[in-house]
Amino acid sequence: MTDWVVPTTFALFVSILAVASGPLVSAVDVTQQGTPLGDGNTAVTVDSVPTEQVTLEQGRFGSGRYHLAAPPAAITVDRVEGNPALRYTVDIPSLWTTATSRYELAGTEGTRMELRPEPIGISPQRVDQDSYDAILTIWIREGDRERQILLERITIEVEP
Amino acid sequence: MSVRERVSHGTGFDADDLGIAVLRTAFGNYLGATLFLTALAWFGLYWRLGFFSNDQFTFANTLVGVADGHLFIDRAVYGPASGASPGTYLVDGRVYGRNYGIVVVSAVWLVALEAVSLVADVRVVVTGLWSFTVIGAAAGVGVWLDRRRLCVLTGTAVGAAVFVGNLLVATPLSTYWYPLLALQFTTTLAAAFTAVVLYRLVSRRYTDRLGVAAGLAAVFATPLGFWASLPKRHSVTALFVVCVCYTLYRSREAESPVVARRFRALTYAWVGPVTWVHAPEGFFLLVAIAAVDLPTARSNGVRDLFVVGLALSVSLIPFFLTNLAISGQPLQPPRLLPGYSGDVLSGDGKAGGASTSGSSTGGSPADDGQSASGGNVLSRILGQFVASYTVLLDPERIVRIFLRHGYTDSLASSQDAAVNLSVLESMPLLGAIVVYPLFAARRLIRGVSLRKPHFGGRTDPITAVDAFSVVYVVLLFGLALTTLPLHHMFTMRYLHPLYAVGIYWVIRIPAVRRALETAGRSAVAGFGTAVLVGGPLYLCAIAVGDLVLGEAVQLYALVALAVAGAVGCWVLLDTAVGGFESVGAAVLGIAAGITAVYLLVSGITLFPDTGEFLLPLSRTVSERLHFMRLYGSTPSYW
Repeated sequence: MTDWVVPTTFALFVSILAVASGPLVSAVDVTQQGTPLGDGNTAVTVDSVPTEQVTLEQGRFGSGRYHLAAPPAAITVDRVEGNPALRYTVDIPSLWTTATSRYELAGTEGTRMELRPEPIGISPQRVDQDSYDAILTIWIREGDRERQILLERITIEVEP
Repeated sequence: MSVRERVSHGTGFDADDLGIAVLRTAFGNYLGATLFLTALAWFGLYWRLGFFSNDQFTFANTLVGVADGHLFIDRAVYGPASGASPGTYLVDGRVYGRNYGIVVVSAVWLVALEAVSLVADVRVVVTGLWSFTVIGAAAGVGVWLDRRRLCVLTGTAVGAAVFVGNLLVATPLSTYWYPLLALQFTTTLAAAFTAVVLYRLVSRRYTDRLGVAAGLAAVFATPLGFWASLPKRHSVTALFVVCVCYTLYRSREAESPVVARRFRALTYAWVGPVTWVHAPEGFFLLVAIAAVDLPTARSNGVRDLFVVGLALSVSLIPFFLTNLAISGQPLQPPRLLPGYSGDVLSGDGKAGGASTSGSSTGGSPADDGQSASGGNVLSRILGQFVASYTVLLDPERIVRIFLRHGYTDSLASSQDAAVNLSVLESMPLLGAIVVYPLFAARRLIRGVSLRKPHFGGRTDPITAVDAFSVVYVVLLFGLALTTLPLHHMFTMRYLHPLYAVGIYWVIRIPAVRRALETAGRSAVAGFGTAVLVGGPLYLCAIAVGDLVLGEAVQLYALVALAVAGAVGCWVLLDTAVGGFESVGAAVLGIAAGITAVYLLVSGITLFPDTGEFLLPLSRTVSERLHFMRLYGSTPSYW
């Protein structure tokens, strides 16, 4: 029976903690909420965005679909208050598709961030040109306000 | 005086004995219970909170309705505001879901969960419970190895450490997830019990060691683990198929006619719950049981058939009552009702129209959401079977379904993401069944009839189970093949019970049993190596090779195919000449190990849904691995 002393103690600990952190007692709060998304403000500098090297690559290992491939865009986050968000998009109008990736900026002050486009998959049944015109944008969201900090027209090459 | 003593005091009734009897019925013995806890601990590692496909909205909305005390959906809490997610049906201006068998059971968990949430922090409770599955499993292992004290202490240390780790990164568990959690609990229990029943079947026929191997293989080396915590019907139907195997075996094995009759009745009783979950699968389960049971039974006297019929009827009562309450006709399940296309719950006041084409992404083999009369249903089913067996003549489709899925251009351009695996890629252990044609050929050459020697004048119990498993899978193919390959299958999920049956087929191969019996250590070593080396290697390949989702899935698929090939080669070689036990055990262990790696990696990083997990540590690990080019965004935006 002594085998069970240790697990029983643990069971008691878990039960007491669960009730103590529950709504009836609320003596301790073991769970923490993250900072709300998109609220705050920031100043960022765009260091570089890929303009020439954005491609549509066909998946390896027999996966067949094309996906967007590009070297990362680089930004420097000069100042952050709260948790504003950044949106990085590559819009390919003639394929009716937009790659969107979003980044939280809390805790990134003074750092250089690398942004990668969402690796959207495009069926080979739809890829019928050698290159596509696309629009690359970066947006900053500060509370209710969203502002565009970069817009670049680029050409996407389809890798053979 | 303890509660237990008070309950049993003076009644001549011993609650202790009752508890043990319940445990025995559920798990068989401590090994079954240990397997069960191991399965829960494993499934818990990659238990995601999120809707994996849009018919799960229907599931959750239906559960909200049932928890409120009615079968219809009156609040579209999840998914589109119109409530028109796949698998919703419209009767008399009311919207209904389907799979009520799972929903009603889950309602019990939901009520319990809500009760617990009144006094305790649910996140703390569930992470605590997970730690206890680890402690319980460790205690079971301790009994098996005769090292109880050491194992209990180690298990508690691990469980407590993980618990504290979980608390350090815990976030509140939103009430939004409670209905989903209840549904997941039902399917996870079903998947864990599938392993227990396989253990009981195999250990009854062979040895405990082989039984444990079968149970562990079901948990770690089959898609049962992929679907365990995803609220779909598949885990539940697979469970009842192995239950049929087990009770069918017991009914043939029993010496006493009374016991035999009892297990025979139980075999038919599993049909009810399956039918309640998914009527076509239930119906064909019954056909498979009857086709094997009636010709091989000891006697088909009036009394026997009466008991069987009674068990079947009683098991179907919940199904009949649900249909009666919904459509007024006991034999008309939700799937045969007109599909719902929105505008009843969106509140524009008009009674909604029924959709004429109810094709749904989360649909089922026998599902096109249209109402049909009895004769109509029969001709449709017949058509479906003919179409399915015609697929067997199409090598291209057969290769896609069973061998190599890869990129499949027959899928629509919006649905052709290469995230699906073939049957063999999903479960490389199945490579072993290539040996069956060899067995058949041997028998034919020796001129022995295909029937096994009789068992004291009766059919050998295992022959009955063999026959049932084959008949059932043939019927399952008839139900499903015509729709395959299809998008959103991941592991050919319409064939899901095949994987549970597959474990049985693999363990029935003498070479496999010999290898596991004589070289168990090699199997463990193979498994451990595959997990400890293969896991980090797979993650590195994804990170360094900058893989996208389809590439990551198909890379695993290619490795799985190669390993399945090795399993097949070994089993043929060993059966033909013999003497490769330890190599074989290692290969089997590796095959199981790479599948386990895929289950874990796919659950934690490839398909994280919302990024929210049952265990806070799993979420942390998932977020740490997001440097991969799978998503682009930071985790809170998944």
